[in-house]
Amino acid sequence: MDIKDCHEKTDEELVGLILEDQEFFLCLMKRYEGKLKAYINRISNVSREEVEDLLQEVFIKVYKNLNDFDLDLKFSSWIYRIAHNQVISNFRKIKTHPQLIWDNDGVILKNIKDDFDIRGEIDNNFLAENINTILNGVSDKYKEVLILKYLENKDYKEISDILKKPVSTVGTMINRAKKEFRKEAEKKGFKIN
Amino acid sequence: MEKQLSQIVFEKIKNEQVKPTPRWGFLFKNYVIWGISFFFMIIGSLSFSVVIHMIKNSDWDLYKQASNSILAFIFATLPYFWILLLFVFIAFVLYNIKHTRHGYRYRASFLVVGLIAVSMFFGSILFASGVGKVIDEAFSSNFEAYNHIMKQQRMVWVNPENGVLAGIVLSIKDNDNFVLEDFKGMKWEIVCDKEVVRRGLSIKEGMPAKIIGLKTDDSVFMAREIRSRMNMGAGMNGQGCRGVNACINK
Repeated sequence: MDIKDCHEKTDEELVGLILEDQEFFLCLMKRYEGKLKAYINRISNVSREEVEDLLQEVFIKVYKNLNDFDLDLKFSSWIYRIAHNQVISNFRKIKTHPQLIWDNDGVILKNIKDDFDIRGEIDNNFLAENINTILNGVSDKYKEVLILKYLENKDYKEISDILKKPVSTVGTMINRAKKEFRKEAEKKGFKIN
Repeated sequence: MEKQLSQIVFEKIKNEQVKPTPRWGFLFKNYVIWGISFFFMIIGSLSFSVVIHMIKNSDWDLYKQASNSILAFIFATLPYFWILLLFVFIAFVLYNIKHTRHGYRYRASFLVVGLIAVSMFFGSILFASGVGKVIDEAFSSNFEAYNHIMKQQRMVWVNPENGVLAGIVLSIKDNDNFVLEDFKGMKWEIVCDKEVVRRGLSIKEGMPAKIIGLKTDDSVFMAREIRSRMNMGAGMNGQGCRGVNACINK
């Protein structure tokens, strides 16, 4: 099979092909390079070089552990889990906490609006100006789930598989994150229904 | 032109001849985790079988003599050592299950309830097979520290003012008269009443005994009933009194 044919293959099919011919791994990496760079950047806020170093470690770990990929999971959940664990492990080595950042291109604002009852142009503008401050007021343990849900657009099952927590716990964390978000917004004088 | 990261990684994999870890390595790890979980589950079930054994043999009909209330009696006689051991092993099993492939999908509270239920089920089967008693006796025979822990529980039976006394037979004076050292270290002259004598009981030195009766003097106790079960295993039966039930009535 020609490596150029890999684009129509699913992730799971590619895993099987990689184990026969490692050339297909290049295809898989290209598929996830951009997404994982953005994700690692969001959950660590390190320099571009450090993000790339971390991503290299993630890909090598993925390659080494391909035989451990569980078909019960989505491949994307599995690779995100490895990326998440690698960032945590890296920060444990340097004995510090990763700093979570939000992007400013309005993605999270748009996604959060769908979940909260936010209407009106005035409200939108206010929220857009203050969203980073509001989000930074949320506890660190809930920020990760907010990033996965509202920036990476993962559903509850995927978040459960990435963070290795029960689905019900993920639901609880998201609810608590929303409560904290509301509280922080109210501190800024912004009421959310 | 700057190389893409994926290209850099791919070349590194080729140059350093990085290979995927063989599948058997992951399977082996999973089997080990499940094997350890299964082992701890068995130990937990064994602990529960001893819990049932000890609770069943606590002479509940004597709780009024031993304690002020049923609740106080329960708290005084619960086999804390074995209950604690049961929960320690459940904690080990929980930790292992959480590290299996899909263990993270279940809430810890749900797993704990499930593990307790499984321990109770298999523990009951083991108890019915006599395993609980065997373990209690084995611990008592081989671990002095175990006897020391159990000794505290036996204190509830040293309540002469309320008509119950327990200890070890020190010496035999005659058919209806012997000396007992209670678990608090005090010596008592035990006088058996006519009913106990009529039954033709065989008291032996070194034997543990639980005596129901009446304190007649500072160190004299009139025995109306004598029991041999002490919930402390073969180690406390002393010499010459194997098969304790043959020595004394229940």
